[in-house]
Amino acid sequence: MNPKTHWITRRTLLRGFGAALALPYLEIMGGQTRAAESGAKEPRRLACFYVPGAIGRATWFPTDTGKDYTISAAHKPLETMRDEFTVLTNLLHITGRISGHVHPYNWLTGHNININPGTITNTVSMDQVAAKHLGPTWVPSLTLSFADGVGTATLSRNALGVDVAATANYRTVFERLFPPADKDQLKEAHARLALNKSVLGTAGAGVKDFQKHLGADDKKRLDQYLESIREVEKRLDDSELILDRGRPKFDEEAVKLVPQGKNGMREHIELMMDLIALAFQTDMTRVVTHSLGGEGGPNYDEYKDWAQKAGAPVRGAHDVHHKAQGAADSPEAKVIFARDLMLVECLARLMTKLKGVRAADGNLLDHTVILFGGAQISSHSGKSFPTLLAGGRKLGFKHGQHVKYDSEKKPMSDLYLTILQQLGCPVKSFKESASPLSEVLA
Amino acid sequence: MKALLASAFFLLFAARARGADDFATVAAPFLKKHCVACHSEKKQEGEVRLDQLDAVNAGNRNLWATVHQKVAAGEMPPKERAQPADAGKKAVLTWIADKQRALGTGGTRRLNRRELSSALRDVTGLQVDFATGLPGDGTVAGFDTGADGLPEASDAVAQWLIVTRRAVDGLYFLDAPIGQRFAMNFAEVMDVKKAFEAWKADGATGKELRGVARPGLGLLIDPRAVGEREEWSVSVPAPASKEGVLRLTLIVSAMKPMEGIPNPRLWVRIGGQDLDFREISGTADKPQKLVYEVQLGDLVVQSKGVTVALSNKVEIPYAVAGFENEDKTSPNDKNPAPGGTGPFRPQFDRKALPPEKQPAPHLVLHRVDIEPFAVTTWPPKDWNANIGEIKDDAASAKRLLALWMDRAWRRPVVDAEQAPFLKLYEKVRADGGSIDAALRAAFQAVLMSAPFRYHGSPAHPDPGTAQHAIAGRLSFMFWGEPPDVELRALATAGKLRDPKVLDAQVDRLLADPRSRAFTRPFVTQWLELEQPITIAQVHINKQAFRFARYLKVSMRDETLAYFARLVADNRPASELVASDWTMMNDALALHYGYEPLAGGELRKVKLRADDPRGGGILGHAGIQSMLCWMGENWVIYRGAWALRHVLDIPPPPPPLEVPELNPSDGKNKGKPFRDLLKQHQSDGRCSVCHKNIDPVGFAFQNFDISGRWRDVEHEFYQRGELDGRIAWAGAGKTRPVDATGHLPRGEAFKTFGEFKQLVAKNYRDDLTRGLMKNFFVYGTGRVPGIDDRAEIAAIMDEYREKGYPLRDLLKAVARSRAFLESHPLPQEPKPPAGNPK
Repeated sequence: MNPKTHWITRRTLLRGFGAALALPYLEIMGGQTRAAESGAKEPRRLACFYVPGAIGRATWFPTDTGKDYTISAAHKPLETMRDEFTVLTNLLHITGRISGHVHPYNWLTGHNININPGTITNTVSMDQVAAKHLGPTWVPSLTLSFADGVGTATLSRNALGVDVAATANYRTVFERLFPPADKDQLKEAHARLALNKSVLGTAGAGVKDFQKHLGADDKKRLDQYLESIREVEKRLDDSELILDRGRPKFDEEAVKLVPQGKNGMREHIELMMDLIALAFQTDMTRVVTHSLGGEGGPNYDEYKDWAQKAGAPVRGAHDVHHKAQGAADSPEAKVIFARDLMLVECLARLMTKLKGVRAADGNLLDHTVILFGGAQISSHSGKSFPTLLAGGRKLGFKHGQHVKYDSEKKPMSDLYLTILQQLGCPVKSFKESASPLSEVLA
Repeated sequence: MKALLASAFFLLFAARARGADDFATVAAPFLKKHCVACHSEKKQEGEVRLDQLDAVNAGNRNLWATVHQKVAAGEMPPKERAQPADAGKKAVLTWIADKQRALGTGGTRRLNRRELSSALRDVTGLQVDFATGLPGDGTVAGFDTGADGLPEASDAVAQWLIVTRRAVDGLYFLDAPIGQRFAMNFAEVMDVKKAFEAWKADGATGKELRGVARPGLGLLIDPRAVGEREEWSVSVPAPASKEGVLRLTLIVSAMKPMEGIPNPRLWVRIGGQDLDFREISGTADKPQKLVYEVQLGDLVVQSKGVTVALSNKVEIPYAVAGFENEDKTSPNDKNPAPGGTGPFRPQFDRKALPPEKQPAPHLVLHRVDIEPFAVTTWPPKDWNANIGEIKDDAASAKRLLALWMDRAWRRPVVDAEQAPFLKLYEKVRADGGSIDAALRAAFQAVLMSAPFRYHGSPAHPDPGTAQHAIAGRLSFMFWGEPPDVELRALATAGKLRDPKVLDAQVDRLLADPRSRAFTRPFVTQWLELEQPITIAQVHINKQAFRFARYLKVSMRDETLAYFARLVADNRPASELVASDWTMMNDALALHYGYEPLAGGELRKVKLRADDPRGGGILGHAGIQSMLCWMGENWVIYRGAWALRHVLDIPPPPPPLEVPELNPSDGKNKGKPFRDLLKQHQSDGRCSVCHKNIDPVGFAFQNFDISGRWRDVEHEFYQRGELDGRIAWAGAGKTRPVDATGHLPRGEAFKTFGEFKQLVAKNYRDDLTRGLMKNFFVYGTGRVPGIDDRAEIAAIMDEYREKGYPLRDLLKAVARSRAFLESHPLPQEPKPPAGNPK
């Protein structure tokens, strides 16, 4: 759909500008999901969050493993939700191992992008595989980031391995998320759907003629074409139904689309996460990726505060990632710890939110798989991905543990396969996957 | 002959009359008695299972064809087993052949991704690469032209709906709006900054326009190495819809003030996509004009618009008299490349010397013209279509639609066929749409229809339609695009089954530069050239990494150009493996250590008599390097590749439970590879195939990882990483290369040269048979069936004495019954009139 079209009225927007209070999400739609409201089966959802650069090794990893592990310092904000998440250690891309600032390219694809120097090739990302199977929704998937664009700004690659452009703009996200409320635009959208259907109808009607003189084997192929046309027509019908269902009713004026600070990392992430919760609750999309920051910036305001509190020189994001190693009490380690802690707090906030929304069966978090992590434990090392897996307890996941695999043996793709299968996607493998991770399955 | 045909029909009829049970009565007992002992669940010899085989159908026709071939040739059952009686054998063979004919050809297929893109370009007149928006294709026997590899899926059709909508949305018929234009004649520009201000006033953004103004000439863009980011770039506003066609027109030339400077290479990037890498050889008085058309929907459109970026790259090392060369090799390099890494480029101070005095190629930008919303009126002017005056009326719309359908369906279209599309046009008009909007809807429906998306069948009962299907088949095979005026005229005249006409057309098509759209995809897929070329990253080090892109492209192009030249000169098939020439350009001459050549164009070069590689594809650096990418087991990969693609004696795939041989692993480390392979050949599970693979693989031991000749090899190789890329470094002691081995039929060789001579002499038939099978798959869209194999054998008999000249073979393919589908189709066989004699 055309993201430029202003599908919400100017009035709504103006009110949106002024609204500074956080939205009481629990209140919208009676604090329940669309499926709970309508008595339908609860859909499955996926959200992937990428942690840029490195993490503080000394504070990220729990020291022991298993069910009764001691929660690590960086994961403290999740302590009250211990049974809602799992810490996974030592997963990596084996054949897709790369290094440097290019990790966002293949975190979700597992592809070795460096096969040809001078160019970057890629393959489909895990979230886009999920998006293909989890619909139909108004927006097939949301691709969010710290900056607009492609390359390292986005985590998603389509079926051809081509970048799916990401957006960092709250208003753009909000506009794209819902079918138009404006009558003219609604009419235009209906007209486009109707035209597509007429085009398909006209084209499909001639297929039988073309088939007439073919042998049995060849006839089958044309049957397949006709069936595919019918399926696409069905999809257009689905879109039309969503259009007819109209824009979900909630207090649009209360949605916060303008940050108070200019350059706050926490505020940026929280605003986006609120939109994600809104999108999931209203069932406008079921798949989201969100890159929480870049390998080399933006240098958010918080970096200054953290450095001052830790007694470290003020550094940009890039150098903070590079200096992340060292003993837990070194000023540099304290800075990266502060960042890790802030990110995990954001995650805890989102999880709390989703938990508070009633679903058709359990709560919204039970039907949402959250992948939260990065691709480097220290800068330029792709050998162990810091990974948290949360939510999805009604999708067969089991949590409350630290699972540590043998070093450099277990492909991240195994986790991706596990997630895809639990989401109900009919896939038998993903990239270099061998088998699902039984440790996280109930 | 007539009697023979008649009796074939009779047999066929008789076979059909027996009904479906004949599998149980004729074939099943034979399989049970002679085949399943080795080919069932327990013992799947050669990865083949026949215990589950059912009556011949679309899904198992190729397996049945293999059974037919092996039994007919007497290869199966094996000699040591009980042999079937002649009568029983004949009955089964006849049964398989009849059943297979009854299935039809099975070659009807949709256009693949490349063909859809070229057919859309043809009908719209836009030079857009429509393939960007389309999903990739599956393959049959390695080719993207196989019907079984081109299934339909709703996702692909949904994408097709978007791609076709974008294609027609770019067309205008009556009132074309006038789009914005950013044009500059740099010969008239005195001050680049000021000139840029004028663009900025129109909405363009960017820091500056890089380059040095030379009034009277143009803007000089300085050369950069690969990896350096500096580029000439500007962002232009995009339409609000973020859709439409952007057209970029450039007039450029090269400035090379001194001897020894290579041509500049222009890199064009629009909206984040690399569109072109091109050598610029035009001069100031004879500049080159380049036109690029891209769809905004395929690009990254940011809020500031679309970014157009140009840069001038040096991708080849060179030297200029009077200047020192930069040399970034370190004297401490542990593994210096044989012959050294060579010079990089002359060193000079960019700030101190004006461009005219720099020992470097500058790109001269004479004119730039960017149309962010280029409007195209249809039909394209160069068609000179006799369409009359176009008004906003039904008659004009009907004429335009007829012209579109004629072009899109690649055959004449009658009124009745046009009617449903005209109806759609009328419906949109009735709903209040403009003539342009209504025509676009009808045009899009034509693109979604089966006659556009599918190739016609040469076996179509209507001779006219069949003739046009042949025209399409010829054109898509040899040009990768829809038939031109001449082919269509011949089809209309009904001449495309005349062997003389066909021969002349194949000659004409192959002589045209458009035939690159045959050689490139055919050779690339036949020889699996899409595997990455390795080039040992360690020995070329960082400085040569800057040349790797262009060198790798040249390495691949050597093989493509070599094949194209063989076809153009109608050379015998044996020259595929043995000759005294190759195709070289500047990068390859450097790589092979030949006298320097100027320019990137590949040309025929006679090889030095003492060059141990000799001519032929097996000595091409690109091929030998690409077969190393998977790891150190290249003896196996190279051997298996040669058996599969050149000798046509393909080894079966390795059984799953067999572990990979890892030469760098603990106990294996340091042992000569030959010794490891001996263990490997003595292991029962491995030896079945490796007794053929490994001895052939040793023929290529003289090629190092970058495909160059070497006389010594290292004891072992270590996998390393350089900037995340795999690198292989030789380690340990060195020893002379041992390239002894033997061919599948036992002929022993001591050197690569002997190996090639033996292949050219003793395996010429195998090689040609393999090539013919590939031509058949590529041209007909299916794996050769029983009749096709017989036809290949007949063609080979005809050309054996002449040594199988390649263009003659291609002509024979175009004349074949398989290609023309000129069998009487046995779908509804009529019993022959009268008594068969």
